[in-house]
Amino acid sequence: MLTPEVEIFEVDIAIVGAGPAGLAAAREVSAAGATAALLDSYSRPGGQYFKQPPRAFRAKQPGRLHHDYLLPQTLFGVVAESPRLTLLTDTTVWTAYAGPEGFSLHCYRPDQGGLEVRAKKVILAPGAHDRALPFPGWDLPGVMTAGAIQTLAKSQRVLPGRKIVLSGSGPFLLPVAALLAESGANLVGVFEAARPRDIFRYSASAWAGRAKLGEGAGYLRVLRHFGVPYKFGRAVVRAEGRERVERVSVARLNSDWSIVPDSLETLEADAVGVGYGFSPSLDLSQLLGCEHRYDPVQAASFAVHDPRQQSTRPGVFVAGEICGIGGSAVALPQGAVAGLAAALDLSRVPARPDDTARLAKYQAEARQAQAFAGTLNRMFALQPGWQTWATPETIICRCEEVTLGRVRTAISEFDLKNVKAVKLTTRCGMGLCQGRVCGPLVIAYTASLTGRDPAVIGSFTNRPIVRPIPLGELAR
Amino acid sequence: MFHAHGTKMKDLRIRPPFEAAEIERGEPFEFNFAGQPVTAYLGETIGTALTAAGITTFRVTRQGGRPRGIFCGIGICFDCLVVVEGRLNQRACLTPARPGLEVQPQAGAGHLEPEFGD
Repeated sequence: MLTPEVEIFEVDIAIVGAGPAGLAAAREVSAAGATAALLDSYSRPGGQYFKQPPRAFRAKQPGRLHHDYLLPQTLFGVVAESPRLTLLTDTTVWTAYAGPEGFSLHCYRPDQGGLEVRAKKVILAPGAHDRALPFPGWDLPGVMTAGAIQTLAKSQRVLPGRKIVLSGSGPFLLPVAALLAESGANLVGVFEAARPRDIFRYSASAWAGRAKLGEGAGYLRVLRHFGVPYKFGRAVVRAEGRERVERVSVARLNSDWSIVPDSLETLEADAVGVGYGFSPSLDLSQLLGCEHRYDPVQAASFAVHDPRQQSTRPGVFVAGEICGIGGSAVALPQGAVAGLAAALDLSRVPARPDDTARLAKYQAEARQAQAFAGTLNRMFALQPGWQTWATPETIICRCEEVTLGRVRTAISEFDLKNVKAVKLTTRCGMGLCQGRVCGPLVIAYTASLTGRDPAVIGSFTNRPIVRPIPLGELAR
Repeated sequence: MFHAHGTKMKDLRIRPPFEAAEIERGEPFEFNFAGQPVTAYLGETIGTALTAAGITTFRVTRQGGRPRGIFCGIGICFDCLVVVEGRLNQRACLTPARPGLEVQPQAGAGHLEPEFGD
């Protein structure tokens, strides 16, 4: 049944995303004396990084759920106890716009009426999702993102299969691998595409992140303890099986990530985790007209912001992964900066004597964490040879089942010059995921097939409805 | 296609001695997937319970009839779509399992309904 009512909720600041950045922003907004609504699609706060097991699971040793357990608990406590903060879970923002008085965010809540949040300022902290690279068989059941495996094991406490292989690039593979090993999984191997000589070119600038390096070393010790092979310069480049993955081919890679001839090794596996960094969730910042800039190192666009985390759109603040992939170490101080700065911009919030010092402290923390994140991003940057893993028959857009061959033919036949033209011609990115999975792939293929700079060929972008919702929601 | 491979084995739930956080699940219950009973515990998603039972194919695609299951695991990719109590396009990775639920694999876009997901 449709209820045609839309509930209206007015606050000073709307915060989208209850992960590390959104939680830190909420804490600062509340401390400054302003009100905020903290909106999140999931049923519990925490985002992906502080993801909690479901309420119905009782952990006798909750400290073992997360290596830094107290930090998220403190933030959840602030949100729960502050009379100025309202946490709205199971709430998906599906469109947003600016009006004369501020911003309107329309939210979809399954099995509930519509909700419009009106706010004077908006803080966008929507996070990111795994970036997977395509290879023959990557759409077979059992092949999933490293993040999916982490969610299954860490939050739902189930293993994805009986013989697991992880493949990808970047430090995120390590905590996932360690979690699986400690959970009794048969982890056949972990394959890091980057090669040591390419990684350690940047080691001099890694000193800033020695705490995080210590964490990484801990994960490596776990893998060694359980006898899990962790190999550099290799990747899963093929998955095969009837109806589900049964075996994979692991290749040795050149430094550009092209396959070393005759280097393929076959492994039996019924679950494969793939993760090549992360794609930021830019839908709302694009919709609100914020400027974005393409970063060739991360092969993705990010929201442009000033030192106070304000985007190019006045009143819209941005924090965390949509400013550059940096994990919680960056997201927490950036969120704090955004929350404090947004609150101070409200006319009714009185300044406190230590505001300037607090802002400067959070900004310094963010800068330091960003420097290390930048080093990691360079160490594990995608190399263009991944584009040779897929064959013409490999599906690129999983939703619309568009193959690489179709993309190639369309670009050459119709002389397509940008991503939008490729979308309109091939249907890539037109499915339910709204291009969140194939977007970075189509941008990369279009750039290399047209010989153009990925910074100028555009993206799918700018949908007025940023998340799939029931049609009835529009009728409210 | 929608059944477990190698059934007689124990499920894939993490249990002691490997359960570091010593999670205690509640009482198990059953729901139906493609006409077969599947065990779940309160708090688990449909996707989790199917994964634990060794079932990896949740639906087939619209054009190629390709099998699909969990891919992103966080509600982004819409690959794990199932039909829950007649409602199409439900993401198995997010939808909580409930006792007695009728869950069907989704074939293609499902059949035409006036209301998507409702």
